[in-house]
Amino acid sequence: VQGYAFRKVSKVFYRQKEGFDICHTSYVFTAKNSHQYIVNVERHPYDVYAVKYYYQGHKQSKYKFNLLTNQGDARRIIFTCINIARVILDENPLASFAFVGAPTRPELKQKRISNTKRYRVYLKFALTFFAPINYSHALIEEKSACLLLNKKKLEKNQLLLVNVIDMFESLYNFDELYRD
Amino acid sequence: MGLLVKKNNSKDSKAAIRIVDGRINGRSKYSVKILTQEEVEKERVQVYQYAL
Repeated sequence: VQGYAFRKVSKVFYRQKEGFDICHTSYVFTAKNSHQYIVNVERHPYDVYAVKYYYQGHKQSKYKFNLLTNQGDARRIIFTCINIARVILDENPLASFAFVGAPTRPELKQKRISNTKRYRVYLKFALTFFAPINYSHALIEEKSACLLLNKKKLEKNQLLLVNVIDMFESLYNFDELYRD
Repeated sequence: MGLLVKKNNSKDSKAAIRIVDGRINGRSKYSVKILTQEEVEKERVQVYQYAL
């Protein structure tokens, strides 16, 4: 997949939240017009990885996950994140993935967090690149969230979906996530 | 939506996890939709050679 070259930048560190150990790793890549992007990968229990990225120029903004750069480069940036997922999968064949399509600023102003623009785009990529033979796709449309559950892991833990949903409900309050 | 998964080694259908009104066992906070293989295939772009 035609993504950008990326490299791991930070030391891996662990953080505990609500009793869950979360392992953080960061990657960086340079995209069109020398725009640098940071990709934060959070490994949660049950081998669930959340891949989050933002433009480095927006690093200090509390809306860094909401802002758009309007460079017309989303496809290659998302391809890069998929290539990072590929590396994760090479390291951990039982990896599952989760993402939230954060609302854009206009969507935030309209308090629209269901079925956001990012969610619709990411979902198309997720359905294309995470084959149904290997992944089960669980959607939480009202919160623009998607779980891509690894079927090898599901074979070992048939309660995986329940476990992961319970974990994310403990870790994140979606209703408060975008509240000013 | 129908039966999703069963607990390990359980033959008791009462032990099955069900999605009730989109909620797992009718209790999870958010409505969850599990896509069927057909639904996924319908929405996929045909570039399977790169799929994970």
